[in-house]
Amino acid sequence: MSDALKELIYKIADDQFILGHRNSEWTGFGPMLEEDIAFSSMAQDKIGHSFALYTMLRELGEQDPDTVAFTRNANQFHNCIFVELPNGEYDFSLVRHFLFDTAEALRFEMLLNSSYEPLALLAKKIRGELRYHTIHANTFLKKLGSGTEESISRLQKSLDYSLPYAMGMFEPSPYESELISEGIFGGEEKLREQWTKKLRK
Amino acid sequence: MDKKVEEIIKQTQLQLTDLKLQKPVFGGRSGKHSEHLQPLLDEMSEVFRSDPSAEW
Repeated sequence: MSDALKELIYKIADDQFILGHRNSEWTGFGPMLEEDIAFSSMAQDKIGHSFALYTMLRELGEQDPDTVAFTRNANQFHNCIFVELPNGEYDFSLVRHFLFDTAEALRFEMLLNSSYEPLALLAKKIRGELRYHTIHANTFLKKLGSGTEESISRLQKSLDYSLPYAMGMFEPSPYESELISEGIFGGEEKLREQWTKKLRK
Repeated sequence: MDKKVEEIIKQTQLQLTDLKLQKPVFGGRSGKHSEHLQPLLDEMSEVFRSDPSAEW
């Protein structure tokens, strides 16, 4: 049970930690001040979430959060490849933000019912922040996805490029059946279905 | 999460290609990453690694 739980927490934490850092790279470079602030603020939220999760891992016998965050090498990280890709142009960052944060909000929505109480409590606590992130993504995707010919074709190109990486967010863990039967997490397959449904309703 | 992704995409002029045709990029969950992760980690941990025992 413990290995399954740790693997689950590690991958969620690492996703937040790495994408949080990518978001922070927009600080001072955003296409407009408002977006600069938004990405910086979401970066803080995400790194805050990763800290909460690394602290949870500490309770499960892992090393302290700083050691876990700063001394592992790439092959010890469990984040999906999608979040580590360089920011590229703003269009890619926006599309990734939209596709990732939708999945992340759904993941934590599922975790509201987790039998592992600390995860359920965290999911409840950060609900508002995740909601703000998806509202932000939706607003800008709508704005630019129906803007000019250039903004539409740029976003389309980034969307096409992103989808295989986005599907990689749902890579099954070796512990799926255990997590599901223990009621810890509903599983990647279920998460992917919900996310897809949101894409293709 | 009130607004579903498809609904959002429908309100734009973007097209969503068939997800069944996508080949997922797996590997990250088991530590197999792209060449972009290690340089990012090196940058992120530079201060910490300069003196891991420092008290802040």
